[in-house]
Amino acid sequence: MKDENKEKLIQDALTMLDDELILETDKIREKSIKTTIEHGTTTKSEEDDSKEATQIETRWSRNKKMWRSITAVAASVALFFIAGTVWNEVIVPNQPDQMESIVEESIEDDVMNYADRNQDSDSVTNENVDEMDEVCALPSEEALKESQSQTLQSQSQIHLPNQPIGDMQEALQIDELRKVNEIDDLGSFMEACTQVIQLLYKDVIETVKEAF
Amino acid sequence: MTDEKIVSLYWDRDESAIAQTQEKYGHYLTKIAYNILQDVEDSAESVNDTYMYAWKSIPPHRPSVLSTYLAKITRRVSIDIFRKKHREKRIPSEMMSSLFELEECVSDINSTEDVIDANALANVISAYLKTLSKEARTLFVCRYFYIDSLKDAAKYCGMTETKAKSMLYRVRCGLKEYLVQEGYHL
Repeated sequence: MKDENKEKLIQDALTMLDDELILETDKIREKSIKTTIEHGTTTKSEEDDSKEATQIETRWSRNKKMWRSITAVAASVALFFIAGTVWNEVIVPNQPDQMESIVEESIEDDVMNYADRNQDSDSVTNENVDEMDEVCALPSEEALKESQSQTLQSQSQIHLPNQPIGDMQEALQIDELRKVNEIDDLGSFMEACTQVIQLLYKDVIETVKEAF
Repeated sequence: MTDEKIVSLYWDRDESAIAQTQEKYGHYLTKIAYNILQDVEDSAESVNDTYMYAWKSIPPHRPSVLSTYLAKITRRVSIDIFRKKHREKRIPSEMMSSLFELEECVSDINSTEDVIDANALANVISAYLKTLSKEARTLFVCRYFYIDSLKDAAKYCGMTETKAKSMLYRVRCGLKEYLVQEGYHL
């Protein structure tokens, strides 16, 4: 079929469409045209107003987003600094003191133990001397030498305890370990903060990109 | 004045029938003509021809709905004028784009042996349109009967141009299928 005939056929068929369909469409078109004619100016201004309102709203929402992100970043940075300050000023200085006090306590304990032990050994030696005095009021040179050698033997038998030194070493090791843990904690805390800030900045950059 | 009275004037061969028709449907018919011809003078000529055809055809006809009767005459007259003016050159216009769009639906109706009655085709198209939603068929009639621009058609139906375009595409595809079902072989 030739194009011209096809066109004619289509247009003729459309021209002969059902009246019902045309009337239905007429009503809708008429209503729309009437509205435009009667409220032409008003409609236009309302359209303009709504457009403007939408634009303002969009602009505000963008700004709002941007400000929210900036505030979040500022808050997180402030929080980070506060946390850092608290960490440096309060937590870190207190921890060595505590360690020092622990070390001091352990040293004191060791010293006390040592003193007690010495006291015991001294009392034993004194008792011996008293007994000797009682037995030999005027000791001979041999007796004196013997007693001296006994005294030396008893003195050599005095056991200087390794305990305090061991405790101190242990305490120092614990202290070092704690310091290492502190560094690890601080490192992980810093790392977490950096990640948070990176995420927030990413958000801000995206928002700024969207805005402009 | 009611349509019945205007038709009575035609039947009484009262020339005021044309004045009454012009008063009531002048803008309506001009809009239809202008959509097709896109020219004020040609549209006025088309509308005048419409009054003349109405005067000649009533009686014997007694249209039940005067508006659609006149609209159909205006459409036909305007298309004839359009064809005369654009026989050689296919100037881009709403009419041409409307035609191109619809050609997809019946482009392959083969054989010259098949006598295709425009009236029968109109009935099939009408039947198909009645199966659609009110929104879709209004859009179709706006675009292909009134030759409204896509923008205006979308505006009348209260939707965006993009939505109207996609809806029209779906309607045309559906029409093509429907025509096949109804024996318009592809």
